[in-house]
Amino acid sequence: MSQTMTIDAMALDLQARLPFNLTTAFCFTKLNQAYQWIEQQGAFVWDHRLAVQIIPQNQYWINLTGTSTLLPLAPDTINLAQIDVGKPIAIWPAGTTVMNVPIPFVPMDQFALYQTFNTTAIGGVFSVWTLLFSITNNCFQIRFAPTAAAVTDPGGDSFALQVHLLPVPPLTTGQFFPTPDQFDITIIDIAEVEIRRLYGLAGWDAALQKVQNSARALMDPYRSVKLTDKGLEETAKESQEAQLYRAQ
Amino acid sequence: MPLRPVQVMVADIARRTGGQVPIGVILDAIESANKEIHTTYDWPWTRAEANIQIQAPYQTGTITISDQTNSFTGSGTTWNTNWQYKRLFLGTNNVDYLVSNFSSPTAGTLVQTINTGVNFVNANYTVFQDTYALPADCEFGSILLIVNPIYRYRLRYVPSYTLDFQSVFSRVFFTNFQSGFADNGFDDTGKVPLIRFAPAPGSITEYRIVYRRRPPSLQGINATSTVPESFDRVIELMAEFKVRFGQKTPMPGWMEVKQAAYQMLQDMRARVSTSTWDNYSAYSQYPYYDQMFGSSQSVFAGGLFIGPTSGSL
Repeated sequence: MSQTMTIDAMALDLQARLPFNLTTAFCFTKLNQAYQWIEQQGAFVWDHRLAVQIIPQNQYWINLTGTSTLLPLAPDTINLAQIDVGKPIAIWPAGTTVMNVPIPFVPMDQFALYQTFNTTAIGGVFSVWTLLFSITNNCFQIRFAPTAAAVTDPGGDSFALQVHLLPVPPLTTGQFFPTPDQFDITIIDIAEVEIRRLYGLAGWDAALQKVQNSARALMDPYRSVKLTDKGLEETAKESQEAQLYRAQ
Repeated sequence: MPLRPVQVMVADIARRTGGQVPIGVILDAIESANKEIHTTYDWPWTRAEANIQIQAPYQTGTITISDQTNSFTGSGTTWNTNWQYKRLFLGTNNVDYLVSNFSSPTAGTLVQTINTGVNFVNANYTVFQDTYALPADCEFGSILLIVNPIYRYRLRYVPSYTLDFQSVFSRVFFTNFQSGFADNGFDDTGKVPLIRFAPAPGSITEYRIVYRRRPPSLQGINATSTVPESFDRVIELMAEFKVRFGQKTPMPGWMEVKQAAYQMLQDMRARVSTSTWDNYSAYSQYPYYDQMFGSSQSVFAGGLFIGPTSGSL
């Protein structure tokens, strides 16, 4: 979390950059919007939380509502309704009686494919999960498959949730943005360019491109999920193996 | 390092495949690999044995059954409702009938109606059993041998056609000197394979069956395989190959993993084959060749049962 500049200091800086008087409230709005733009660029470590939720016996879902469970594995509890379901979520069994292997996410159109397996289902050992909205509970729901692996332990089974929270509500006076210190200037830059665009000041488009590129370069090391696309080498290996297999 | 439990294998495979393969897929692959490895060779640790509890024929009381019906009643009988695989012989036309069940000590049902042209009222009968279930973990082709410990000889495993042909002359010649046994179908209810002895056993006794058992299923996250600890990684490698190759688009690297798996399987076979008995040159003819007695002294020389002789024992 930023420790250097409060939103007040950032607003003063922003006001100094532009040739007209901007109100503090307007600057606050634009700074918050700039922060929102950064949040939209991906999942970052400052939003990443580890929580634990206990799934009760005979259940195979988690309703994202209420507060998570306080356990030594996860000393912070979170409001499950604050989970950003559009950002990566990792789930893995946290108890000692189930397999501690990540449970992969599948889109809803593939969810039914993972209901039937040859091996007998083990209580609490789920294969995949998907996300849906529960009308009854008025919240998002993480649903697991196969349903035959519903928890059998009378005390329930613990599951670790590595999630990203929704962006913080708009900051008000005296508060700091959750981003690191080095983002403060970037947030001001983004807000400045946005104001220049709003008022049609010359050069705003080039400035926008420049500030977004530099912002992305700054953001990349702070991404919480380091996903890599399949490289050319791997693709070539795949083709080679396919050819060898067909030749057999 | 102890034997690898299932959850360690799952975690290893998940790590090497990027954590995106569902656990159920990995578990299925491990189970398939375990079974497939056990089918590739007569591994020494699959040897198992059991007693086949031969039942005596039953002739107490009398029976009543009408022609073209399959229900029968007894008088003075104490049939056991738990009896299975029994046959009923009414003393005519050299035909025995499969019994479906005994509903009470004095009532039962045949699988088919009788077609004798006459009714049987308080008639003499014989209920006997020549068909027996194999142990639950024994499959067709897994039988190594069945011995008669009383008379100290090995029963010959013959084709079903041969057994039926040999026993057609007298369906109910009871003796405790069975010449052989054959596959006899499958019990759909009990889900066990069946074998049949000929001639039909004449009294209560026990035979010893030695066989290759099906490997125990790897159920439960702490289950371990029966594969020797030095080679238990072969299951994991084989499973990883199946996981990689089984994707909609095979995951790169499946060829190397497959090669490593089958190489380790070959190494295991070369090292754990400790019994020369399993590898003698005539093994391919097993079980028709019995090296213990030698081809000229075999109790079953020429496919004909000639009985043990003092020269061959």
